[in-house]
Amino acid sequence: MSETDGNDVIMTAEKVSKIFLVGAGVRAVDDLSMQVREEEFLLVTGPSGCGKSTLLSLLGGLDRPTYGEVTLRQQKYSDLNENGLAQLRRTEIGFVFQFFNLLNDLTAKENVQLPMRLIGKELDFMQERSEMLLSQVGLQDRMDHYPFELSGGEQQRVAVARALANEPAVVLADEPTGNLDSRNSAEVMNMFTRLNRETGQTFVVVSHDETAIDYASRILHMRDGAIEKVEEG
Amino acid sequence: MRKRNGSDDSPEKSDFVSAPEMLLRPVVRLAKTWTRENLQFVGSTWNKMMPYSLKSIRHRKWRSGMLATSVAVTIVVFVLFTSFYNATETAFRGEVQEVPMVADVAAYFPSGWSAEEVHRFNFARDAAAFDVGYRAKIYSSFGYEFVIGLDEGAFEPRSYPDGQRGDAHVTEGIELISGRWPQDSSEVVLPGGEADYLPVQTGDEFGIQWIDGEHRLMKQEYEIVGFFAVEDPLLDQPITRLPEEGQDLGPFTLLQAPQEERHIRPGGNLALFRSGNPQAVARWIQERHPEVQAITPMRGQEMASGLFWQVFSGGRLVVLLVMVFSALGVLNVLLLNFLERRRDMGIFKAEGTLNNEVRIMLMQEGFLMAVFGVTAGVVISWILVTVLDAYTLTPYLLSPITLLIAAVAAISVFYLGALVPAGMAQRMTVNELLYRRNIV
Repeated sequence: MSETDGNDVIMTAEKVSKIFLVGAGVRAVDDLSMQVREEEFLLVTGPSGCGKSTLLSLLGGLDRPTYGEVTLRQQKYSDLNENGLAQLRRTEIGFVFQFFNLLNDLTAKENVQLPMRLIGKELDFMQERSEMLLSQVGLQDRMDHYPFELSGGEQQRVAVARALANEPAVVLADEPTGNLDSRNSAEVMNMFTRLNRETGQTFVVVSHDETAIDYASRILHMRDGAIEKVEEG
Repeated sequence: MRKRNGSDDSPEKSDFVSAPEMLLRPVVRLAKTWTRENLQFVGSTWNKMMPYSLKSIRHRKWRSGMLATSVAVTIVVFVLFTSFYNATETAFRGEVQEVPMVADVAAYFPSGWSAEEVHRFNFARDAAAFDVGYRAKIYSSFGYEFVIGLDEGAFEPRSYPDGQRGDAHVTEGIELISGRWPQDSSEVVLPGGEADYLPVQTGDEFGIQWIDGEHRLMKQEYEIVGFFAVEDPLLDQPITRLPEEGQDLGPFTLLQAPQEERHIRPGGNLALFRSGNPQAVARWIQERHPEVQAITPMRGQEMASGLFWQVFSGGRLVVLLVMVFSALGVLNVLLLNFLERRRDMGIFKAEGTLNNEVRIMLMQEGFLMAVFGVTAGVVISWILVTVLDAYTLTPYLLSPITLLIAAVAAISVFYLGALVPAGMAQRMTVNELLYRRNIV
């Protein structure tokens, strides 16, 4: 079912299914249709194993649907080859993962510069923007630290700064607080809402944490690979 | 119906890939890469990924260092062996033919003398060397025994006054540097400096004059057919005797008896004989010394060749084993690096790094490590060979080709070794890299 309509739609999933060929086949996402509006903070929630993360992978072009179509700004993913999807990810999508997924060989600043380097930005620009972003997430004093020198909350903030580096159309966060304590979880979610409010950045956050509902502008409840209900926050 | 999505990056996979296809794939891929467009892509990716490759190497400095060291050691072993081989083969094959002589006959001393094994080898080698005319001398004992071969000496680093350097085959004061005979008297110094010498060679005619109490050589009266030693290296005892006039010298011809018993040429007295009948010489040897086998120089060369290859085939095997184990080590470390960093590769891809960029990054890391190892190996090899050649008796001949082969081979090993992890990283999806463990 389509849970919303509107002219400000930035991303859509149309009758999307994802079947993993394990045993008799697992239908992780089942004929799901949804839309993401520009500048919204969309929370996808539901019990473990309901297909939230798989949906996020499909939206982010990390995986391809078995059936159906995903589009971002009218660009159909099925029209893109692997390189095309990679190009789309580097310019239009920012990722925040549960386990931060920072490169341990790089400092916080270098991690933030990675997406910019991939699109060929100048060094001065990268320096300036990475410092600005890290300051924005409160890490101005930790820029030259390596991930293993940072706490979980700090690492996640670096990941958020990295996700914002190329001013993506949408930031996809997969259980961003799943590996954090309640204080750090609240900090990260507050940061999302602040960035969403201040910069108009679109966020799609997957979380099974009930408290995350308080931060979202719209909530999409999933069960068994399908959308159960949609709430306005 | 299952919807297939386009992918120009991941070719259709089949369950079975033939061996030739597996071997050809990298070649085809390489050929593809050699298009202008791809070269530009490789160049820009090379620059883009360089900081990450360097960081990765720096953060694994011990492993990278060990890998580079093992490559350097392999190169050193290869270069040392090859330089030694080249020097020995050069001497053996007589590539420098400064003393053109033609052997009439060579004699081979058969023996059960175990202690003489070396002598036999030396003689066979020397006979062969004589045949091609390098550093050859005739050892003649004036009608008692007749053998042909090199004198026993030692390879020592020397240089001529004009600066030409090389291995000097030193014996009794004469120095044959890099296969060149002395060009003037100042280049030859006898122990005690007792005489001056002209540059002479077989076929020259000369005379001897007494000037100011010293012998001086003049090219006029006698023909040089070779040289003989004070001591026969095979019999290991003094055998030099001066013939008397009228003495029966068998098939030899005495042109003129030397004035006195002394060296008038370093390395041996001038032999004033010539055999016009090699068969007669052989017969003469056989009659008087049945234990001595007269053989043709060609046979001597064959015997020497056999011994030469026996000696070096063992060395080659060792060097080959070292290289194989080094290559396996390279592959192992590069694979280990990849497995350890598979999550990093997933992050790179999630952030939008193209499959080919990931592949080039891994190849770049392999290449950079190869460059470190190869540079160290080449420099250390060069220093070692130079020092060993200069300060030991063992000759080494270092050719730039050897260094080039070592460098190219090492970089190729890294390239081939990096193909496996790079190919894996290129093929795998983000989710496989980030979350799944069964990737090998």
